[in-house]
Amino acid sequence: MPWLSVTIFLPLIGVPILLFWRGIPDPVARGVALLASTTTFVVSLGLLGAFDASTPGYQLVERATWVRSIGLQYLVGVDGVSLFLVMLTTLIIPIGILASGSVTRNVRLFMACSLLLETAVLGAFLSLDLLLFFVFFEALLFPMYLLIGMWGSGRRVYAAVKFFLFTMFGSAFLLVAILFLFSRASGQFGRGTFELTKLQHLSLPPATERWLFLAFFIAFAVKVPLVPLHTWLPDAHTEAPTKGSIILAALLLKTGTYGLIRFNLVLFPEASHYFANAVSILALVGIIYGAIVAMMQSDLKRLIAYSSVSHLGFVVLGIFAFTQQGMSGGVLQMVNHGISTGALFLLVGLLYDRTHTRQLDELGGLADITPLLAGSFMVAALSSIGLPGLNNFVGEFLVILGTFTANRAFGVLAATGVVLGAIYLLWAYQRTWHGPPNERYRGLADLSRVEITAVAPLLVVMLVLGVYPKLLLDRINPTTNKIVQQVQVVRHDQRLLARGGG
Amino acid sequence: MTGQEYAFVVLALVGTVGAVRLVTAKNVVHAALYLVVTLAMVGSIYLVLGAEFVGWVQILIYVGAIVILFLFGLMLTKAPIGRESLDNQQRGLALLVALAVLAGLVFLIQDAFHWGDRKMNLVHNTTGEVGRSIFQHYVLPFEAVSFILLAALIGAVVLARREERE
Amino acid sequence: MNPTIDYHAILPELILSGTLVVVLVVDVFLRPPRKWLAMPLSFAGVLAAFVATLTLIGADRTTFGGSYHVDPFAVLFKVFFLSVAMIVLFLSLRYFREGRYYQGEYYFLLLSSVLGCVMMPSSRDLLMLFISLELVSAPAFLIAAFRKNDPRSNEAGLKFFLIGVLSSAVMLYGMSLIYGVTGSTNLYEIGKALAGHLGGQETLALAAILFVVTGFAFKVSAFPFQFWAPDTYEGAPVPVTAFLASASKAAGFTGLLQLMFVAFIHQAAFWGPVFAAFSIFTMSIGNLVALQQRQAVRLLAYSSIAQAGYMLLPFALAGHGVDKEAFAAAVTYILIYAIMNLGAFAVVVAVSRKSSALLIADFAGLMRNAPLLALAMTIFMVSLAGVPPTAGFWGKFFVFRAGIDAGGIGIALAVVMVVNSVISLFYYLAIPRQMILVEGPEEPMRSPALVTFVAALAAAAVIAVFVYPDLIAHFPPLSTLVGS
Repeated sequence: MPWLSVTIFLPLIGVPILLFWRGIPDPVARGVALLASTTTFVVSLGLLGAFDASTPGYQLVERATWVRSIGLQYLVGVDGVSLFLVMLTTLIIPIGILASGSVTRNVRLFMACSLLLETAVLGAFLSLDLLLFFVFFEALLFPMYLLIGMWGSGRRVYAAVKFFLFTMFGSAFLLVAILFLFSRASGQFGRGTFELTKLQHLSLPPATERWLFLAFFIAFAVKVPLVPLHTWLPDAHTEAPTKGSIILAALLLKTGTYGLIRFNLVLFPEASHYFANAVSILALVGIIYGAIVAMMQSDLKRLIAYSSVSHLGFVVLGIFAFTQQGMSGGVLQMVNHGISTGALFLLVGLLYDRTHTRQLDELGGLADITPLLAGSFMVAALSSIGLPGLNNFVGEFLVILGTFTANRAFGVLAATGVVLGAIYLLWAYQRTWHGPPNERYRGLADLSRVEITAVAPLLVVMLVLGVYPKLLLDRINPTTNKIVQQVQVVRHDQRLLARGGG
Repeated sequence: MTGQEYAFVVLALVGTVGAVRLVTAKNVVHAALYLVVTLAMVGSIYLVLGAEFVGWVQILIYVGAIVILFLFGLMLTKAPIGRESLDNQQRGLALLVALAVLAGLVFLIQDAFHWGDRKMNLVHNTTGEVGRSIFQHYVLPFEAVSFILLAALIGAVVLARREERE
Repeated sequence: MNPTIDYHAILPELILSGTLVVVLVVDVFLRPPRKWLAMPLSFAGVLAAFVATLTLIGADRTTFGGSYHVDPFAVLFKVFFLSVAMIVLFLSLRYFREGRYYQGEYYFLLLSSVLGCVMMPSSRDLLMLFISLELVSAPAFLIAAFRKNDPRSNEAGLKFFLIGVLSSAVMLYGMSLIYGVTGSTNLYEIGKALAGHLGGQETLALAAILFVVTGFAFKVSAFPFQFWAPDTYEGAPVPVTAFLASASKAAGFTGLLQLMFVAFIHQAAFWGPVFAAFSIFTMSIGNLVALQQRQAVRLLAYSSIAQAGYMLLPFALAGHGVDKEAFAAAVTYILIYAIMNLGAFAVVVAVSRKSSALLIADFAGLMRNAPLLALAMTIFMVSLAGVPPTAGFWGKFFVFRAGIDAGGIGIALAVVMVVNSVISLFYYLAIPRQMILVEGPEEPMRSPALVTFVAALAAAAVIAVFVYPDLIAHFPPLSTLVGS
């Protein structure tokens, strides 16, 4: 069975129904989208089963010629890095659909956008052809733009346009760099190709490699986002509808960090080393800056948005430590952040549906009124902080460990980020739920059955991954090991070269 | 200098004077008459160069038909004769542009062909040859031109027609 | 001696000529309420010419002593121009019928212009080329002014006419100098003559090339000869604008392609940088001014200027060893651009029935009032910006690729184009933003079936070409015009 193609394109089945059946009743539209995305999740479980944990390379590869004249292929494959991102995607989308009960306008379009997004994100995670990746990478922008712009709150149009332009700006240079690689490939291999595994063997002069690294890096850094390219994120997150924020945090940001591992490290190992310190410093700035700004927020959703900046800093730091622990931790953290922050956004959304405010000074004292909501929020917050026994702990620990062996100062600074994270999240928790009971909110309903269905899987996953991370690490490690080795070999070569030259 | 060259100089001088007066004349009818002089001189230069067909066509069509049409147009439309309000007072700029273009072209052409170090080989094109060329190799452009003229005619009628109000 | 004429080769032109005469004559006998019948009649003629062109696929025929050449390049563009003509006819029917314009005359003039377009890609002779171009433009001047009661339309026609005539004069002067230097009007002969040693006449030849290029720069609205386009586009009847922005512009580019890549290719080192400057300025000025537009047609006019800049880019790459690729990129871009642009104008035609001012604000709420049109328009705007999953992405892709393969200045140009594409997003997004994100008055909009059909067809084509770009990209490289 072509697991990957089925997983990628299964969500699309729902789209024509939603687009062309004009009078579709809202509940049916929700049902169609939920069915399509849940089926995709089930199929992706099959994919998980078919994955061979002991092989480090790409698996389940499917290849077909798309455009012969330019050597573009439909080439997809999965490895330890992308496997759990795919699982995360297929899990998050149905949860987001469950959680979008408050969407009442243009439901069918909303659902169609969600499904389109799912296909685009899955495609981006699974493409092994650079141009194919680019196409998916771009294709997810417009549905996201609509999601924010149509169903967002407040300054949604501004946020949507800002999001769109920032990411387009980044990816425009990505396209030029991809074409440059293609052009060099036709020079060196006699035939142009966009295939990742072939382009890996391209020999490039160091200066060229560094330029290309930067072009790729900017595209991905906007998505991650790394300071100072992060300014679109708080706006987009805050104004997006709940589902939009969940997708943004859990999936979209990951296309950035994923791109860094998959393309920057693999294609430009020399340049990666050259820029490693600079990137790590950016990541550290992001960790600390994100945490401090989060602390000062009065809007709960904005606070979580800034916490994303901080958390994604860890991921990047882990990746650019070039140690196996660091990289495995980074990959694990990508998944963990998706679950924890996704859950936080989901819960804030549910809270907002009830209170119609996200301002911390207007909240408070809700723990007694909606105990289930409060409890879930506490678990998610603790997970996000990195409490041992919950999922984030393992990832953050690995990242700090990996960074520490590479560079002590970086490791220490990263650790302070964890402390800051604990401060702002616990403080936010306290201000939202504790304090004197608030008369305004008396009589608010606690989580409904549907909402529990949406929240529970995330909490369960947090617990399972916290207790038994081996489930993931066994499958991630062979791949990260291989990538780190590839990168290290280059560094070794360089040293030899330098020694030989000197 | 050969006789041909003397003829050219005289014709060119007269033509130039006519052209200058054409744009400086205050009366539109006078300007049209100066146009006749200029165009006739151009036609004569063609004749001097041995292009008899083109020369006569130039004189027949431009002098005989087009300028007459101008004069008719001026009279029928009661256009203001004399200095017009449509003058946009950009004479200085126009002069500058004209002089610059002239200088540029003179430079280019003399750079390519140099004064006087080139003997002209007159190719004797008879009217018959021109006719054969038009109706054999160039019959397609010839037909196309007729469509352009037809289109211009129809379009002019449409645009100039007074709208009847029902 | 009588050279035989290859009637099969010029069959499409003959059919078109016959049709336009028939349209003119039949129109005389139609009573006013039935004047619109000229449209189906014209359509039948164009369709017949289209079929006749299809029989020429794969042909390589020369007639009229080498001045008229029917080869894959020519057939590709003939098919393209005839398709555009059919689409413009669809868009015109209701517009001209409801506006009580002179319908018979309009269709006659439109078909004349189409005839010029169809002749253009076969013209391999300076004289032929010039006359084809005039046949494209002269009727276009007139139909641009067809909304006689609107001063803006008068201005549109007049400006277009004056600038068109001026540019023709400059171009013709350049052509005469080329003839003077090379002794031939045949493009291939000129190419051969210019390949040799020119001696003292080199400067003159280069200046003549510049004159000819200037003339074409007016036609394709390249900076600094672009200023007529916005006023003309805004004032002309919208279907005419659609025609001008797609077919008429493409005709200018076909002429330019033949001239530059066949006749003047050996001087590429000289005119390449000129085109680089044209390209950079045209796209940048077009995009920057488009940012400030409030009116939809003006926005599309500046967008079309910017797009012309993208189409000019491959010309700047000539002589860098990627001629074939650059040529194919330019052709592909022109074709893809025409599809998405025509689609966008179809939607504008539909909206123009509701509001003749056509402000961007008038698109508000279209998503609710006419979801199909709004969806199509969104696709066109995304495509014009060059974002996947749309055909526009491939258009840009091929141009980028040619630029990067050329190296050096090509890469710099590609980067400039990338920056421009991002800038263009600002204004291309403005219309979807209005349609989708801004609430408008709720009034279901009825658009003519043919117009909706055109919009849907173009939208489907834009997506189809994205999925399978070889639908279009397959053909340009087959052209034997370059590199043989």
